[in-house]
Amino acid sequence: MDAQQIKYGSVDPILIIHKLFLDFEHNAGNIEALRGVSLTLRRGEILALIGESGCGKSVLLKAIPGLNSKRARLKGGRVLFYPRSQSNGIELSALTSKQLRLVRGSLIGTVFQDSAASLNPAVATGRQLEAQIMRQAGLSQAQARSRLVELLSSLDLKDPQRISALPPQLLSGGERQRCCLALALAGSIELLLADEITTALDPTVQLTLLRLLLKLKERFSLSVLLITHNLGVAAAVADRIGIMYAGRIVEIGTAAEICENPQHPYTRTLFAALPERAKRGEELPTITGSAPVLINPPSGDLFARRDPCPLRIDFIKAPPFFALSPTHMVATWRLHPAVCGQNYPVLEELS
Amino acid sequence: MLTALIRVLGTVFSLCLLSVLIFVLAHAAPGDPLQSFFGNAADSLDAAQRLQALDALGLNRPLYQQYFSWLQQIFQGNWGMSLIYRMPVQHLLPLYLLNTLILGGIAFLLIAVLALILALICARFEGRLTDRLICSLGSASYFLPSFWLGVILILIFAVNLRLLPPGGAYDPGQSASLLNRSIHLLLPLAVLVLSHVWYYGALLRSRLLEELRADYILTAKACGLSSVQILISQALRTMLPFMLQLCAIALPHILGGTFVVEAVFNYPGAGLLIVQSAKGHDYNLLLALVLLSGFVMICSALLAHILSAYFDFRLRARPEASWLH
Repeated sequence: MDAQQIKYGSVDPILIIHKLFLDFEHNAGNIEALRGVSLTLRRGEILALIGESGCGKSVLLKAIPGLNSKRARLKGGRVLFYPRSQSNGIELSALTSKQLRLVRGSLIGTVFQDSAASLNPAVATGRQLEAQIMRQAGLSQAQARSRLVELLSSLDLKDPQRISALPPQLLSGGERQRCCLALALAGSIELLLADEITTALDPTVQLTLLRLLLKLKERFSLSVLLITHNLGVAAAVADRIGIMYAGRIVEIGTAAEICENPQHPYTRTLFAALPERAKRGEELPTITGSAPVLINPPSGDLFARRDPCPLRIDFIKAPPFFALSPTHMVATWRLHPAVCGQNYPVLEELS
Repeated sequence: MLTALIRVLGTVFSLCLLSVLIFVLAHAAPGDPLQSFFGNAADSLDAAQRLQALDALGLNRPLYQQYFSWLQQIFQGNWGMSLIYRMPVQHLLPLYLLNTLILGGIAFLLIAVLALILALICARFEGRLTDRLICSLGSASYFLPSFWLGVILILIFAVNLRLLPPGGAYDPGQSASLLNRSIHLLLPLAVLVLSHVWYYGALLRSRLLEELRADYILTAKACGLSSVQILISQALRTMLPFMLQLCAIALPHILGGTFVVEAVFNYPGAGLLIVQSAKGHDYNLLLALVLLSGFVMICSALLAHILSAYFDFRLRARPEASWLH
């Protein structure tokens, strides 16, 4: 199968992940962190990935530009990247580490959760940004400085001089995270990978940062893969939302489809557990149990063990993706004709 | 300004304390100072002659009087007579100190450079054969006692193979010959480097690996930096204050190492002098050497502090605000 052969209808994709399997080597056995993840990121959209800790969100995000640790092993699947600046797609999963390094920072930018730790504590923030601008844009130091001031003001940072001169630990959380964004935007990136960029911030700053993200998306024509714990964040900015559980995407659809018509039992319990939906005086619903350990996981739908009313087949065989609409796909046996009576087309089988 | 003054006063106070301590300890130790002054002739002195000799050398006054007169002399630039060498300490010392400086200085540079290179190689190939090999060989060389290693090297290279001189700093009359000095330095340097390099190599390696696991390294990777760039421009840059502190700490550590090595190789340096003067109750010489070593130690600690405060953003009260203007 060639990179060009994978066509997803009229969709203009910037990123196609096809049945990605990734293991981490561990003394107790391999941890199957990603177990066949497929998704398509359309050019210019924000796709939010939601899931609890350990479901593989960050691993998936890091797998795209090859940022996982040395113990990570790609067991199968492909990652295809279609930047505008290149007529042919790039198969990221087939690149050597050196080729991949040249893509990082220049075409794909990554921003992480903990901005306090994400910048070098020993170097003035401005110097770090300046060095990255010089590296990516091939500018002289003087040119890089003026470019930096420009970049910082496009990130709504007032007083770029002050911010440049300070080391990252003397900046506020919001300023720091903006500087991390600036670092990512130093190259002419087309894809922004944002790993829980609002999690470490307080709610008002979260809101302004999300607005900024929408603005930057337009201004720099970005496509964004946004990872978050926060359903509210996803609903506010994302065009589409994907729900991950135990190394798989279990449901994906437009933000409206996921928020208003969740179909997978995991998605439903997630929404049921939102504090703002709880009634006063009633106990807050929670999801019992914890995320499964992914060393030799059992077959079937792994959420069945925490599902209040699972089906018998859930313990035996993994469900395929049923398409509720052209955009809404759910991997659960509850959409099987024998269970729900409706005949939804099967899109993709999972082993 | 005030802190600087406090530091200077602290240094002076520490040195005074050190001098009192050494003075008392040296006088309290058993032994006969006249032995070193007269050699074996000291045994044939009768009681009256002994008393007279001690009087002449000022050694039978009360201890505090001796101490204060010594202190007074110091401020006049007079470090007293060496009993063993029968010459003023300030004339005796420079030659020996220079020898120690040559040995210690070269050893220090070699150790610093080698330790850093080894640590970088280990960090680059973490967990692989190269790393494991360097770690185990390094530990082995570190745990060999340096005096034993010295004797073994003398046995192999000087006694059996007759390739290198067994000791000394130069052959008689050859003190200006660089080649002759270098040949004499090889074995002492080998011992010093082998017994010190992995102490610092291991410290640097573990700190480097710790640094490489930090989040900002991931950011650097995401920015497209190569692993060598990450090692040098990110991890080492952040470690710079640590490395400078380590250098300053290494100064007295390696100095201590040279003292042992000098004794083994009979290398005419401060270490050899200190051993001789302590054995022979040569109080003036001992005090001068101990105070000098103490001064070096205190200064290197001070240096470490100043360097890290200057280079580390995190310790700086007011970070520079001018680089952009």
